[in-house]
Amino acid sequence: MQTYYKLIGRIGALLTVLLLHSCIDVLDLRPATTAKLLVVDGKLSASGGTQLLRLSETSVIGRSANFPPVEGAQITLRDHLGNEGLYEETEPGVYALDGSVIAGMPGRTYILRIEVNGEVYESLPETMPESVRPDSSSFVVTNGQLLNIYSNIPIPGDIEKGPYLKWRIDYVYQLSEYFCHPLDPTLVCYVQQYFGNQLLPILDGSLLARGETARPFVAATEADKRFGEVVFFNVYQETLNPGAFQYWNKISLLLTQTGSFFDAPPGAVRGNIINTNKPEEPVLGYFYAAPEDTTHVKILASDFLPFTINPYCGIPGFPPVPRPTECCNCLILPNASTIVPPYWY
Amino acid sequence: MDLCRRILILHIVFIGTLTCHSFAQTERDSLPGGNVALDDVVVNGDYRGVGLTDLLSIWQEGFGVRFYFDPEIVPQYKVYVQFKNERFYPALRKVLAGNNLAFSLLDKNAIIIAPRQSLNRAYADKIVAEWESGRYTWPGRNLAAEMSLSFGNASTAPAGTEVLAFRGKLLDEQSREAVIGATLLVNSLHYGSASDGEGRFELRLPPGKHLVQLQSVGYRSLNLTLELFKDGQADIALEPFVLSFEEVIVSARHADANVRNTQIGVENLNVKTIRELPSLLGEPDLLRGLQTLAGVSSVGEGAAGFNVRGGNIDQNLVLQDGAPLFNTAHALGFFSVFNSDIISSASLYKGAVPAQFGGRTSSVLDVQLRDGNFQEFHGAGGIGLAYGRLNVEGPLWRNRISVLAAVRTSYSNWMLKIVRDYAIRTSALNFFDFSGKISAKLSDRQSLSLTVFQSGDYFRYSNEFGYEWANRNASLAWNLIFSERLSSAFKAVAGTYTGSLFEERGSEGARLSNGLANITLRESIFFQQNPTWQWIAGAEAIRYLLPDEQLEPFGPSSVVAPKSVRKDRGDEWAVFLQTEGKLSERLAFSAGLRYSGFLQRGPGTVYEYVPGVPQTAGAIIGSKDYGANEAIQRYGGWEPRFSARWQWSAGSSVKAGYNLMRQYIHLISNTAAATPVDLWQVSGRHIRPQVAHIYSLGYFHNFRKNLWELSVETYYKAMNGIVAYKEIPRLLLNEHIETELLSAAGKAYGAEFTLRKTSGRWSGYLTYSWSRSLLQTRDAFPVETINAGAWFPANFDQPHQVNLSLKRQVNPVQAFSMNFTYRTGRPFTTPEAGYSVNGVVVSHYSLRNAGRIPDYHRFDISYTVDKSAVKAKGYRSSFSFSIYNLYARKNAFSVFFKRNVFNQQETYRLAVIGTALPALSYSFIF
Repeated sequence: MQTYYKLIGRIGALLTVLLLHSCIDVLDLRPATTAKLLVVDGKLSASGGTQLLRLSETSVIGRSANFPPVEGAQITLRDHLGNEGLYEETEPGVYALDGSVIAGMPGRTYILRIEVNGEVYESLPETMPESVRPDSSSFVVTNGQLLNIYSNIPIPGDIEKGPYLKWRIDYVYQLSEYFCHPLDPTLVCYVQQYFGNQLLPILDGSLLARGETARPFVAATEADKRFGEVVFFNVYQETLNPGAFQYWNKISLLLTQTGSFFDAPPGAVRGNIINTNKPEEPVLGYFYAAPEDTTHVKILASDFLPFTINPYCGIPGFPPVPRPTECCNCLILPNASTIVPPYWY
Repeated sequence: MDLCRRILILHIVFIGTLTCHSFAQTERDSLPGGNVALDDVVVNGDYRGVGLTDLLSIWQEGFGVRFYFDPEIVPQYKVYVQFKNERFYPALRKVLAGNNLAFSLLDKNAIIIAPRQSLNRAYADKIVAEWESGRYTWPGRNLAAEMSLSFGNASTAPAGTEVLAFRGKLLDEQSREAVIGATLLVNSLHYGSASDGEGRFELRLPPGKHLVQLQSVGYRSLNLTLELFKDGQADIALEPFVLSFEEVIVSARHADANVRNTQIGVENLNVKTIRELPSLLGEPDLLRGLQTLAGVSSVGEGAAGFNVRGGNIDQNLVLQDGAPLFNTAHALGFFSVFNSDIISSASLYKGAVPAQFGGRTSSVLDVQLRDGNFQEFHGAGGIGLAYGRLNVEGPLWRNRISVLAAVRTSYSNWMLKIVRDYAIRTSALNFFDFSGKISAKLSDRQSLSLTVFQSGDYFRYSNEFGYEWANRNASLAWNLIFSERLSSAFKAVAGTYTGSLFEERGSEGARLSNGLANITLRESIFFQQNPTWQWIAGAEAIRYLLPDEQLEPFGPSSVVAPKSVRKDRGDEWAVFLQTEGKLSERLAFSAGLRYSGFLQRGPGTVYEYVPGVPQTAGAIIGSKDYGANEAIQRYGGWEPRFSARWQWSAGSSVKAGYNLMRQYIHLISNTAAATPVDLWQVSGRHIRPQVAHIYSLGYFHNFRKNLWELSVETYYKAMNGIVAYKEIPRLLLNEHIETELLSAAGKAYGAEFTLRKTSGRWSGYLTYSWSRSLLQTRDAFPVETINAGAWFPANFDQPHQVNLSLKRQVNPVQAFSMNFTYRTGRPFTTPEAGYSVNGVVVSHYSLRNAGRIPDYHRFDISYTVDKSAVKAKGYRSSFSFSIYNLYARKNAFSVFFKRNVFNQQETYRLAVIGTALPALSYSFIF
């Protein structure tokens, strides 16, 4: 009987694999390649500062994440009031617009024009929507070490469409050096980290009740030694118009493909850039105008379960073994600075 | 002495060689005659296919031995032995070998046979006493019963009459149910007929005396001596008989039905065969069995629905007792809603579809549930790893009203609970279905039946998301016989399908629900003009009531606002006329004409778009609202159906067919496999009906007395109005769903080869299908065409498909089955390039379905011990052990592309079943 139970248990585990986990493994499959296409990646914000736009080409699919820049383009931006600004190429494929020349303002409509390689491309008219401001950001710790970040957004009672929201998130952690040498003062660094896992959180707020506060999940990360002192998550929220939301929603769907039964087949995502002479030419990417709002959420080591998170460089008098080099010189870490961020408290 | 022995041996050889051929002609239940020393007996003869008790009876008579056994326990196995100068005792051991039976000498010429574990003196004494008291008697042999009927006499025969009619109905002797598909053969005239769906038959014979042989699966054959000097009528009862496993596996049809039938591309599924196939988790399933046939496939392991000859899953009309089913999946598609314990018949029309069926452009799967037993109560059930099943049936009013109730319910959650992973431990997967049928014989000419069916599924992944879906329907059938030639069948059906997707996502937690309700009325009139010519005429009306698509908050912290999107409604109707007849012995045909119409009706809103540009939400320039029942759009057209058979020899024929079919309801689904919340959408102003022209040609050949069947069928389908999808469409909660759809032309063509061995110790079939299914969006605007307007493969295009299903009947009780399947990997869309926007790297896809996932192949085995095969009454059980995917191939369900944490692109394969799956199941009948 015992053997029978064991057998059933094993079969049950197999069923589980079958029904829920299945088996996912890597195939050595070389996808087809195609001609290089122009990619436009640009945004106009309402901040008034320098506005960046990148032109690049598609690259052969594979392990590389380098995309050839498109240089020497003439790029102008004009609004429906007749204001016009010219982008300048600051580095290969990167073009900058002085935000004081043509400002991003809610309600205004913008058209981007690109002249490159003898072709002329224009964006469809893009109207900047009113910002739907987030109230705050918050977090929840689950299973002791998993950190979920949420944005808290009061949905305006008078809004007709949307809101359509998109986020990007980074975080800054504090790292306090320990005493390494009498002549070497201990520093406190603030190290900025980005999410490198293809994160593209978006929200279709048109399905939410007006006057209520939505609390969409925007990011998750597992806490480690970097969370041993203080961490600030910075949540940058963009309010999109419906066209831009549709585009980013499709990109988001492509990024979240899992191969499951219910995955929609992938497809080409066309943006809002059109070759004025050859409208059938596929141009990738999107130019959009979106106001941006930022919230910060502070997380302390004490927010996790006791003893699950140790400070990066140990507790005073008890440095970790072996000693990490950066605990004597935290500035060697990428994106590290000793300047206290303005939102830090 | 020597001479005597030689004479005896000659006698034995004579008996041994003749009895296996002649026992069917003569009934011998007498006790032994001679009396010789069994040690001296030499056995010769070919006893293959002889019943065990028949053989014992023969030996008892021939050798002067007396056998004692318990007739209830020692079943009537068939034996497959040949002896040449074999000594008696070794021969007897061989006969009993494998049946767990043993024998012992009671005295010089008396032998007791018993199960090994029971063989002791006390048991022997008891058995002998039972025989001596007369309480035990020899079981009947599978011999043809005899019957005589006389109608008039030679003197009363009307002068000049050339043909007289003998009509009647064949009934099950116990249940009084109609016996369908029984054959009536008059060998002297090379003439025969078969009982129809009501068990009725008609023979047209010259006056005189005829020997009519009646045969049907599961019944003792009957030799009817018929003296026919005037028209006669009689109902004939056939005795149920479950001895011969060879007969049981033959479906209820003529042995050469595949050659003689006029219709091409029709598969009459044998439910017993499907039960014998190795199955997933040991649970036999109609739709999985269906996929072993040529021309039937699915997009992958566990996907809902099935594809027939290059058609989408929504192009199959699936009927259960006349009620359409809109989602046949249990457990997301691993099982189907069909309970194989209560299926009476299942026919798949994939080529020539009779005119009484319509509304789909690919195939019709017509599943009939059996009536409950009209005589006595019985039940059946079983348990497997995934679900349990139980059905009971019996008379509410003996011979008048019967009831059948069957339920299946899953208990797979316990398997999830033992897994360590928290998400899985807190997941749930449940389903159930219930079928009930009440059948009433109102009179000899009227019958009424009511079938109700309900199924429900619940799937939840941890506390994150899940699906629920349910089918409910009821069908009322009223059959009325006006005369021997004219009858009517009326059917009224009402049903609903509902599906929902729920997601617990805090403030965005929501439940999305949709579904479909339908009411169907159908009347068919059958007219048998003569034994070789029949007509069917009728009408059908279907009302599709599509409830609003609903979004509502789900979970305590949800702030989702309720929303509903109105779905279109419509009425479909049709009139039809079908005839089938023989123009000559060689040429027969089936022709039908159907006119179908469709009305999209209000309430509804029709959007108007800027002419000359693609239909997008941004191109809407207005809309028009229609009131309740207001006509919005009409469609309709003729649907001719024709097929013919030319039989150029007794064992071979050529068939050809043409069908035109129209479809007014579409499944809007753009996922790899259909989901429970995929939308059913009726045709309307912006969504045209699907139309398919289907051409078929086939060659059918039987040889070695119908032991082997060979067929080669080819087909070509031209389709238009196929629903295709723009890139990454938004289909749910879309008030103008047409903005996400394209209308495509389609073509499908292929050839199917089937070689089948119908009976014997080895039986099974080998199929190979070569097929293509292609789509084209040539009428779309250039920026919206798929693959620049070129033909591209449909999601289920799988050019090569091979299936080998074999069964080895070890003895009447034990069988070993195996199944091998191979098919080309289905198409998928591959990325051609990558690019970066907003800090994320995105793959670019331009050619739809340009790649293919790796080919699929799988080998399954099963071993079955089925004691119900040899026991007609009482508690009977069967046990099955199977291994699915024996060599543990990781067949890809899908291939997808993702960037890893280093932003490098990787290609991943999802294998739904990536290992060998052993399973046990136990079934019983009482």
